[in-house]
Amino acid sequence: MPAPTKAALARSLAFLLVLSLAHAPQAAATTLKEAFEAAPAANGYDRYVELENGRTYTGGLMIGRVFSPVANAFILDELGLDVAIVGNGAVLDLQGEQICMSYCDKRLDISDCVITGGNVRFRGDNDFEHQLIPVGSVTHVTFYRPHDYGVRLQGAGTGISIERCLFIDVLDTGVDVVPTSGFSGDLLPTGTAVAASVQTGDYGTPWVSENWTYFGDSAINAEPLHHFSFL
Amino acid sequence: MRLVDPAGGDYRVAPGFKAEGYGCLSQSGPATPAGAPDQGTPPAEGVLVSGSQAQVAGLIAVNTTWAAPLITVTDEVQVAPQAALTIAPGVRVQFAGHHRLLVQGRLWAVGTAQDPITFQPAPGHEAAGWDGIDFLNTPAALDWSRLEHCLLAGAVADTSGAVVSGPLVGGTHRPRTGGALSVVGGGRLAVASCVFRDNRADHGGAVFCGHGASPVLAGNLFHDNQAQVAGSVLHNVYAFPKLVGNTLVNNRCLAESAFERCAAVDNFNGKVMLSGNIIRGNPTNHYSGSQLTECKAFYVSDCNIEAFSGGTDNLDLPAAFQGWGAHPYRLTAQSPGLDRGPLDWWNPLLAATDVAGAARVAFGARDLGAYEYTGVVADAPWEGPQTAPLPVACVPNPFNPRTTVVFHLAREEWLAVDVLDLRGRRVRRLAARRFAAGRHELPWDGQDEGGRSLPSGIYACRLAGARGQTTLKMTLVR
Repeated sequence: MPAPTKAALARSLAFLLVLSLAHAPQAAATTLKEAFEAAPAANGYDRYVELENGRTYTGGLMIGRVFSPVANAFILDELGLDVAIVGNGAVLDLQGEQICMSYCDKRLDISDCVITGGNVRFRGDNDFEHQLIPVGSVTHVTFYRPHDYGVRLQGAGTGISIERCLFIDVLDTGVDVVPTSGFSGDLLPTGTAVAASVQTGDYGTPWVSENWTYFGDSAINAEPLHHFSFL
Repeated sequence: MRLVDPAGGDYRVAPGFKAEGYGCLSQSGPATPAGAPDQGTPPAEGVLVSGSQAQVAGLIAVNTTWAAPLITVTDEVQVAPQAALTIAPGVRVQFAGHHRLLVQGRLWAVGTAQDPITFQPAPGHEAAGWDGIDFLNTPAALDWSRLEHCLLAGAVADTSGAVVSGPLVGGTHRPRTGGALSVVGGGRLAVASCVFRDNRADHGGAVFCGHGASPVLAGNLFHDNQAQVAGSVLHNVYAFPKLVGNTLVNNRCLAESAFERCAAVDNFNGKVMLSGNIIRGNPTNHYSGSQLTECKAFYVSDCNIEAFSGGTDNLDLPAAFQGWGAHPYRLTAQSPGLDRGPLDWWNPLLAATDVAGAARVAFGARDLGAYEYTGVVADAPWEGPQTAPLPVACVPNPFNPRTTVVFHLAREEWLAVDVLDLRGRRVRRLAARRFAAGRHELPWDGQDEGGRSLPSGIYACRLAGARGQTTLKMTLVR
């Protein structure tokens, strides 16, 4: 069978989405943000998000700071939180968004869920003023057609583990341009199961072990950089 | 397939596949799909502000409805997280000073095409403008906030480029962006069949989205908004707004540097999903004239975008707007976006009627952009620019190598005056600024932007402004 084009994949995804909605029981939409905001502090985490088996949660989650191109500085109001997402077999349909731990020295642990339509990103920065390097783990997560990457580490490394995950058909969405700063500014092709970027000498090496990645397209599957890329 | 049935929501590893034991372990069967989005439920009315007119300011801590035909905002209004503010159709909200409407709960401002809700400066406060509507970390569990059939005009975010005070995510300072609407973090927000015009900001002339915000902007018209730097319509930072069926036209970035980030939609480390939009004629001084900055092609589909060749099923064709009347951006029979509107999950969030009041689906399909072509040319009343043909001439014509573009304006207005070649590419910008009422003359020396003499041939002089655009054929004979 010929490899599907990116446009065809996007179209078939949209079609499947419409089809599934058309025939689905109209359960109350539940977003990951709602689950996050309702989650209590427990087990040493500021938010211990326990999801429910058999349910689909939509949308992404931003935790931590962002960098403002207008002020050319970090927006420092949001300090970040230690967060656990305990999937219990739930499906996270990110709908093009991300789960992102951004520019904070906090922890994000995700386990036992399915993630589709988005990705998980740890991003940090380490400069003269800031030590904003997140840590965490991604364990026993099935990534089904995630956008861009499965997991991207960007200005983060030591203290992050990715274990026993399954990455299937990561979608190449085109160049990912991230012109944040001289420290974390980089550019990677997308469509990679696990991507680690930016001066890992400064950020250390993550623990990436015992994962399984594959692509339905045999040519892509044979290309190592689609399984793990490192800049 | 190595998974049981991913299309059906069952992502378990198929028995016998070597990846058994990897990935999610606890899924016990097909997941229940998330429901399709609804349009939200109107909040309970609560405290009624009525009478012929009313003045408002301060904290709204319980559900409140503004029903007085004229509401004057005399200081910042803040809707608390547990409260909802409803604004009745036809209400005119005017801001007597540079005040904002800060929403941390719900805002339900649903007008109609006949009775839109307007947000504008009060008379005498036009120069400073008003400070926009800020949705700031609204709780995710809240029902939808919704703006529908609203006019948001004359808002001015800080244009100094300075960081000004304002309670943000934990509360100290943030740069002021997004002229009329700022959405930071938070929950459900739909903005449908609204008009954004004459709003200004450094970044995001009309709208700013930040910190994971994912509002749906559907069927809106954005015109004549200005960004001093970037994003004449939208500036997006670490957020995921969904734009479907909007028209973005004649918005301007004023940055003079040809290498400054600009564009109508300026994205920074986020994902802007664009589907079914018309994005054309938004001038910048950037050397590429890009309408989009850093918007991934993957998320751009079924649009008509000037000078954009990526994405899926997009067009790059003249929009063929009506060009006159109360709705100069209404579609005509020649518009290339007729019946090309996409089907996707945002559609339930589109208003039932377009900006002019036409049913959003006509002839069994939906059109690109904010207007639905119905074949009817009568205009519904709306506060929009009144238009008339723009008289323009070129003297002499034919010419060698100098000529002068002459035009008359009945009132002050902003115009971009460009020379185009036969392929429609801009070869020279003669002016892009506000012109006073009266007669104007712009000489052209037959050279391109680089000072190179252009060859003999036919060129077009295009004057583009709030009233649409006029082109004039010019013949250079060397």
